[in-house]
Amino acid sequence: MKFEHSFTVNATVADTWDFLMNIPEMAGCIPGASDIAQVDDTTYDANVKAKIGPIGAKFACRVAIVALDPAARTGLVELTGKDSKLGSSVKAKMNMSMTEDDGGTTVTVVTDADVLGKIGQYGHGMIGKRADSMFADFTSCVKTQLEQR
Amino acid sequence: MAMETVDAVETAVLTPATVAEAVEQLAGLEDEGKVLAGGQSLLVLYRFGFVTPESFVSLQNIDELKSITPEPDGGLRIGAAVTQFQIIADPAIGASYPALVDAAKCVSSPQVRRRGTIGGNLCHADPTADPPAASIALGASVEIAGPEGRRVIPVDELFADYMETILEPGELLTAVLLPPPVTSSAYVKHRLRGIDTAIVGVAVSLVLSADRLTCESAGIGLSGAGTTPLRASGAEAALTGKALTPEAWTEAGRIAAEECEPLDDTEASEWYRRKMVERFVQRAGALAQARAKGQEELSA
Repeated sequence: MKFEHSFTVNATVADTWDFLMNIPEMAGCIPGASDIAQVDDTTYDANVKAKIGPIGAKFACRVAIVALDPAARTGLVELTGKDSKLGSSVKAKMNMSMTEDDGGTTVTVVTDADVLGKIGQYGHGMIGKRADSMFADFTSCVKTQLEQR
Repeated sequence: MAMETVDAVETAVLTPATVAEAVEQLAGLEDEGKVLAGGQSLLVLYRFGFVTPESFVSLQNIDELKSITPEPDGGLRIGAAVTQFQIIADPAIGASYPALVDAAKCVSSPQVRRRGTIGGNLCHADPTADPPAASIALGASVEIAGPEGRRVIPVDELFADYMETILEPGELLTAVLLPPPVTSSAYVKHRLRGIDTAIVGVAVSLVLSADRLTCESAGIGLSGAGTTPLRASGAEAALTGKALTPEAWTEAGRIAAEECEPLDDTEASEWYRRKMVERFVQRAGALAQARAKGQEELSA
């Protein structure tokens, strides 16, 4: 499944970049994320809870920063997550880019995600909508954090 | 593709004899309790390990929830544990609320209709289920019992999100309350196999003028058209006060297709579902109108 999300924040490109590259701070804005731990320079572990109807999933995730170009303000992140209790897993590649937009910054994230196992089967129709609502929550949190500085 | 199932999980089944007792047990269990009201959807989720409650609170011994009784205002009270089969077999519902019978007949298989209940179906809050759309079109309310007593809300307000209701832990849906009958109603469902949930389903209820030509008010409920069962209020408004010509139904279908927000999944694309909402508003409308004419001929 491919998703494209974008948002505009009232902050400079440099500040937005710094905020999103500060993984522990940024991860605080990911809905349902907890227990964020750094594994090495470019790898982090985290638990992410997500709910689809009556089904509650808890994914143990590993996030790897595969490519980062601070000059071009682009980054590629790979995420793998697994809920062994529900026998479900998620794999995602996220391409992030940002551009200056009338004094603010527009961030665009293009995600290519595969949700496998029981959740992928049962909740297929809802995954896109849930990704939208999680991104909206993430966005409003990032905006609050950046615009209150 | 077969899913892995859970073989042995310890879950207690409580069997309260009254609503008050059930509410007390549910309140005590907080998030760890699930109401078992037929179990035809819940036990599927349970078997796959999607829900793992500490206890089920079964409604099977609560007689109050199993009856269909007339209300003083001319409406009907259907207990939450009334099965789809009871709804199909009840002459009062068949005569006055045919959309609800159409919907009950569309629910899965005969076995499921024998055990599955109206309250269980509504609280499962599956957007592709049939009875919710019919309940919305008929202007039903639901009665909810909780630790603070009972309250009544329009059925539209029960659905919070995809397979989620507004019910708090400790609350139990006790009855579906139907207002006095309208002139006519119908529910029509689009699906590929008999036992499937709806790709799209549309329920229409009509209050017609004495000459049966003008629509005084309309109710339209949609299934398969969003993350929850939906009311097509724009389409309802477009029909109000209008002569029910094919053009009026085409316009209502177009508005309903525009105002809904269907899921895009392996069953059907969002685009296709919108197209089908458009068509099935016309079909359900035509059936409700034909029934209104039939009634007129019978009474003449």
